[in-house]
Amino acid sequence: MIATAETEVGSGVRRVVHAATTLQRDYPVAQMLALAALFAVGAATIDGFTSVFSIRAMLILSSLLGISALGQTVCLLIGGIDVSIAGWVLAGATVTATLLGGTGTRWATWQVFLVLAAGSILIGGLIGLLCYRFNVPALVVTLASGAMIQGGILAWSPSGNGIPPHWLAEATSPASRTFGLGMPPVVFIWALIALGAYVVLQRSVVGPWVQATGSNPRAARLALLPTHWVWAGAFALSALAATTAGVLLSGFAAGGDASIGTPYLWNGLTAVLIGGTAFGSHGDYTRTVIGSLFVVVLSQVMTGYGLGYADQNILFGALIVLIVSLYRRDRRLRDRI
Amino acid sequence: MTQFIEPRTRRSQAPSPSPLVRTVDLAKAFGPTQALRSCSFELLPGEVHAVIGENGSGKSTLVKVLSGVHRPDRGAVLLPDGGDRSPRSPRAANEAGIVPVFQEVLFVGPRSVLQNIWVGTDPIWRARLSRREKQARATALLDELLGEAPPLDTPVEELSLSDRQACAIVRALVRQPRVLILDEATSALDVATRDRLFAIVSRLAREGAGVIFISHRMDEIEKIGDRITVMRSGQTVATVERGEASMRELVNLMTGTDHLAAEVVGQRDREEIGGVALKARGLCLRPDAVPFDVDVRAGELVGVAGLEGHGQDAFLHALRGAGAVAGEIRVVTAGGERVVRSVKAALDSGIAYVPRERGAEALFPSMSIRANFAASTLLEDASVGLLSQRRTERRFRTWVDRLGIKLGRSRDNIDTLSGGNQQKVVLARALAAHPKVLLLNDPTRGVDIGAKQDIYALLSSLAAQGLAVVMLSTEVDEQVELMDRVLVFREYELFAELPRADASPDALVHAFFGRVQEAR
Repeated sequence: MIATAETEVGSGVRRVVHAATTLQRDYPVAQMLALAALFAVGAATIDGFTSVFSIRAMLILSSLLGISALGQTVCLLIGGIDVSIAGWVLAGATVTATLLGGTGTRWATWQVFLVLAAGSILIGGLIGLLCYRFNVPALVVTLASGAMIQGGILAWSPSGNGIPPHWLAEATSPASRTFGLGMPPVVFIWALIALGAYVVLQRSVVGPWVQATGSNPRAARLALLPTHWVWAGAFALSALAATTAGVLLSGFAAGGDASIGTPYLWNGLTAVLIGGTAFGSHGDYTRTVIGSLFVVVLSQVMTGYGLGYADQNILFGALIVLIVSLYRRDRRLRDRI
Repeated sequence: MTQFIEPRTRRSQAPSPSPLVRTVDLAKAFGPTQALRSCSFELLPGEVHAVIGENGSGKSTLVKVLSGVHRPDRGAVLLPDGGDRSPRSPRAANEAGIVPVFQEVLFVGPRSVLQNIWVGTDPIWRARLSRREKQARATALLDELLGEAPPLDTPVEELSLSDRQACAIVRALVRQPRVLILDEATSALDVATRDRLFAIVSRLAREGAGVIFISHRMDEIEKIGDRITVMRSGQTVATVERGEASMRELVNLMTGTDHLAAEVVGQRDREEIGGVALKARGLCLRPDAVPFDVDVRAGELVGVAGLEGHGQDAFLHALRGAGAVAGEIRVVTAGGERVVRSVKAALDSGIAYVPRERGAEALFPSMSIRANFAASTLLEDASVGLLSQRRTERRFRTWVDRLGIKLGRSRDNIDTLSGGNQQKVVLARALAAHPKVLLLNDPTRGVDIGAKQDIYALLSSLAAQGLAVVMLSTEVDEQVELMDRVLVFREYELFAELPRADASPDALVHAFFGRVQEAR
């Protein structure tokens, strides 16, 4: 005997769901709403949360995090990952503090920045090419290279001592202003970087190259897209961005220590994932900007509620699991094939 | 306007056995696209039920609803043993005995043949069958399907496309389906494997299973289908017994037109074939193979044929600059000849290539239709590196019109298109590079008869404008009807070169099997 049942779902509801899904795919609406809600919770429940100083401090922290996560966004888009970011942040902070902040240094500022930029671009680019050319997992190569960079920096400057120049501390101080505007320079630097990233990733030929390389590497090669340069460029950018964050961080933290870069690796990855950039799929830096703000605001809220570093880490970990399971709910292998 | 025919029921005089699966008025929409409008269909035990229709007619959506990938918006899927609704997941469909094999050859490349066949059958902590039992069952079915099973520990990515699809079919067979769905699953198979599959399908039907068979090859439908259901615009428009409707009537039901492929391409003026556009000299596709020379002329359609895995693929790759064991590819230009030494040089010399496996080698699944089209030619739409979406859209629209691509919005994701329309986008991408020589690797695989007609008409028109086309096809009829000349490969050598006048189906098949006297 055949049983019967009808599946009736209102087409209006489906249309709304489809429209919402499409909107969410094109714009990070849910992330922005979550950020607004979190900020509202902080503003309503924590004293001084919305003070000018507090907001400036959150923006500075978001800027440093966001800058360090710029390259990670691109690496994830092409289907890679960069876990050497902690090493590059340490390198940027330590080299700056040591060469520019030490007594009797013979290095000019531009020379230090040139060495850091050239070194990070060259080594990062080589890492990208190595991963691409020999099909080695980026996780493995960047884990190894990150350890080597950290080890090399510590061997070169074990104490990480030196006081960064005053102007660098000013650039990242909540009390400083930029051309009379009420925000420190680092926030404007981040805004310029975000604008540049938007133009490059969403308005130039590079964006589709990046997306195609991550979406289907084989098809991208057959379409003769410059996939090897995309890989080299992504990892070079990641190294350069993390080093830049390190340079700025040396001013903010007044120096560098061995573990200064570690939070930027994991919090940066959290920011990229919360923003909605998916491995080898869709995403952009605008989402990472929102993700960075979200991570910093959440961290401040948790601090406001008296949660310690360990508790915060547990919550961030849980958040990553939750977010990834929401964004990337691929069907199980047995169902896909 | 075509009049829709009410689905007829089978064996109206005798009581019918209970259907293995029946759908009633199924509807399914994806955003603004109504993939299924009203689909009513039944599969009886012991029956091979062919479902035909153009790309976008709703066949694949029907299959995905039956196999638990999609849930219908309206309607019912009726199962005989208490199942009263559409399967909620692929696993639920599997448990109900409904097992699909899809057109896209789905596999886990680095895993072995054995692992691919049994993937997902065991719970986490224990195996339902011993490894020996799994090996025995897999070997038996692979032997039956392939004649000889490949080593079970071979990574699947090392097998030919046909053998990979055979693994996917065996993966379905080991699950002992009550309802086996073959959704364009034969399009990747070579002729011999396809014939053995038909024998297996007949055996399953004799044992009481039902088979839903979807194919765009009408000869296959005529050969194996007990009944044929025709779908059009998401609706079932007719169900007929085998032999009850002619091929022309079926095409008419599917498309609303009765033009067959031969008529579309028949009128091309073949006197317009021009000078040599591409030369292959001393080309050697395998170290032990005899080198050969080939010329391709402007305005010529050259077919590449042979049994699967006899060097046709390697020939196309050699022409696109991806390398051969020995030999040289030269493009004839106004200033002389240019040697092609790399894929990049080939593209710069005006050689464009359309790969065989649409999903694995051509499409960017997370990108829009427009971005998929423009991927290779982005620089045409850029000023100082900045893209003009308007310029891309304008270029794309000309190809949408020319190829008859059916789409909603060009910024929609590429996976909102049917397989045939995706293939047209891939073709448009290659043509947008303004090639002088177009290399096509089985471009009509899994494409419906209407889309095929569009592609044939386009190729004929492009050839008339001087484009040289080299096209690998696994369909003998296509070679005979479309091509000016057919190159038949055997054992990685150019075995026969048949001009249009000599390229009959018999001559081609004889050449496939190395019968010199008939072929040459």
